[in-house]
Amino acid sequence: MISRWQFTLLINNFLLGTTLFVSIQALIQQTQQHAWIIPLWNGCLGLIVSVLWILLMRAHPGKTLAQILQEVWSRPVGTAIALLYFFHFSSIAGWVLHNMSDFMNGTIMRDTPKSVFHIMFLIVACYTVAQGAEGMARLNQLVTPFLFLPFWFVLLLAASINWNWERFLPVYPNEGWSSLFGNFAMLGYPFMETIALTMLYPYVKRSPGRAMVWGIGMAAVSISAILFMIIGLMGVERASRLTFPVYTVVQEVDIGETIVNVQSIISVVLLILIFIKLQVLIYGAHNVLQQMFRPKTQWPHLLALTILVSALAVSIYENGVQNGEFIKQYLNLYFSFYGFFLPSLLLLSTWLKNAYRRRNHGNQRRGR
Amino acid sequence: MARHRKTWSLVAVTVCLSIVLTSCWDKLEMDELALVSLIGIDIDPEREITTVYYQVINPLSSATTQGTPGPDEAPVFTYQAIGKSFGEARMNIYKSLSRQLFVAHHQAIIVSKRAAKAGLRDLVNFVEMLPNSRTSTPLLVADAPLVQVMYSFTPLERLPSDAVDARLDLLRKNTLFVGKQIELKHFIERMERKTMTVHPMISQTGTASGNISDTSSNIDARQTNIFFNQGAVFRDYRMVGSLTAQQMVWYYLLEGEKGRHTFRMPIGGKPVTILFKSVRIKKKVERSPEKPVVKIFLDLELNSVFSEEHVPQTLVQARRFEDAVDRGIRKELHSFYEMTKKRNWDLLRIGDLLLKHGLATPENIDTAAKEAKVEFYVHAKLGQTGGMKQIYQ
Repeated sequence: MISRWQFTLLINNFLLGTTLFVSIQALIQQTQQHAWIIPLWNGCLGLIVSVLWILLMRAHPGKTLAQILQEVWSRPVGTAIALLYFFHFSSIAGWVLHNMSDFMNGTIMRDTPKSVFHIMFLIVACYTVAQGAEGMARLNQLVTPFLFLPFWFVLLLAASINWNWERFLPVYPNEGWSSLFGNFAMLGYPFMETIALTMLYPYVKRSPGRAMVWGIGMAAVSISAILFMIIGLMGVERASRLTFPVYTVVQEVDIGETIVNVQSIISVVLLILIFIKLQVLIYGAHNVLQQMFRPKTQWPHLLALTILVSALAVSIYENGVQNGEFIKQYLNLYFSFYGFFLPSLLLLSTWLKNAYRRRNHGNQRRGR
Repeated sequence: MARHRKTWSLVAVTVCLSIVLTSCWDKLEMDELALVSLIGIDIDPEREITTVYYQVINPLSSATTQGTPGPDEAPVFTYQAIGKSFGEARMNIYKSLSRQLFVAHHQAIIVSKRAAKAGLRDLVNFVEMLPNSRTSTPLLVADAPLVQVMYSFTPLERLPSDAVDARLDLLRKNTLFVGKQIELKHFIERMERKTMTVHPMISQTGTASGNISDTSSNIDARQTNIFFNQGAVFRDYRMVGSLTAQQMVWYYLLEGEKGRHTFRMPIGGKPVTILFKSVRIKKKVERSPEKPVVKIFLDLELNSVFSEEHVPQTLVQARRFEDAVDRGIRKELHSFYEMTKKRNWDLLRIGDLLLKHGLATPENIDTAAKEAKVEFYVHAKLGQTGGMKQIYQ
């Protein structure tokens, strides 16, 4: 069993994961200095979607997503859909890994082959997953202060020398607010990916729904604050062009010629966040298999998963251009199939089934 | 059986750990690196040739456990790389360089005047594109031929990059000839925001010498030295002109730079030297029916430590002294502003200010900035006095 706070932190760190690498530049490019509003706005929408999952989980207490699928849609159909979720989680895991190795190749380790990063991360992630949900949640709780404090310390250090309010221009009334609130760039990724956490939902001791809402809310506020800092620290002009603005912001910290090159702190923080995201996804994928086929030994599946995901990671996208285009054009649609369409269908069938059962039950009683 | 399992799992863990040792791919040995201290860039716009100079620190020149270096050891070697673009030049460096280029610790980028005039957009893109690049180093323009600057030593400081860096620091501390916003990242931001910026210019004095013993055995520090005396004005990635050292002072004062400066001006009919320190600057925009009025309020603190000609004795004299400084500096600022206006340079960033207040649009920003009325209000206050209450008459 994991505690409510552990679950909140897990969701928060899961959402921060690759978001800080991948979406910041594109977001600032699209919405300029108002970029910090988007995570808040899309986070609100993400919360609405998460209420759907919470309702679903409440209708089936003590069951994970895979088990609910089997219960509601019979074993064969449920297994087929659960397999879809398995591939969904695996492909996100591969995607996360590729993002991570892109970052590593693009900043510190230019010559290390991508697969080395992938396999290293996967081995450790599989080991953690084999230890079960509790170990994972505890590990996350343990490292969170080591992520939160250094990250904000370094950003505030940068702010102490490079902050400039002039980088925020006043908002004119004729500027299109519709373009701002019609922007759903962050809804699919990262907020709808949180469906992976429903695999952990039944293991939370008390009120997991509230923990989920808190986690998503916290992550939305954090991403928004980070975007705000980046705009104030380097200006829209550069942040909308650089590949890794978070990294560059810290790279430029230069205090008295003694505090320089502190970007390694940011790298480590981001890598650990990515690892947390990866292990949750691997846990999701692995447990879908476990709960569907109930094998006696775990390790063959974990080994197979390592091989599958490391292969996926290399081939999931060709380059950053393709990745960006995919995120912009198809991701919301693709993720809402898993994050919104299937869960709402599942919830609808549950309600119908319950209503049908209640009526039949009533009829039987009347008949007696 | 249980023991075997333990052995095998240990073997498995060891094998896994060996994979984790990834640094093999990206390892950097200190003695395989060429540590670049200074970068020089020259572009020949006609022949489309880019030349990059890298000043690489000679590791043997610094004191080691084996003893101090001989006097003949050059502290830096300048390598030259030529290509059609920056990328090509960077690759071509290995035709002559025997170590891995390491530019992350360079202290300044110097561009030639013709490169600055042709435009620095390519340079900026190249630097920002590189992983591990740092844009937080000063961007300077060479007034002298770049070859001379890059191939000559400076007195006192063994590394020319140290001479540049220390000089910038001292100038920033003691004068207003150099400001803080001279790094490459500031340049990029200003250019992208369509505002203007000024970067220091380096010139060479005497005959350049690439021989360290020539430099260190000559008493005359003018013989081979670099000199800061001008500023290069940039607009849209191109150098469009230059400012004299005195104009730089007024520019930086209006930029809100918090430095101090010594200036001689007539007070009560005779010239007096004053040391002033910028305390605060406030820019206010007032809407009026005809044209917007930009009011710039400047608070200065005066110090009479260098006033060898006159020290106020009474409060009345002190007020008169302050008023005279107010008037004098206001006049100087005004003539500086008129000069920039005549050259169509919006160095005071009036356009940006009007844009922020909604009094200009990106389309008419230039004309709006030119039409706006600019007023200066200087308020000087005498603070510290020097070590003498009264000068010898």
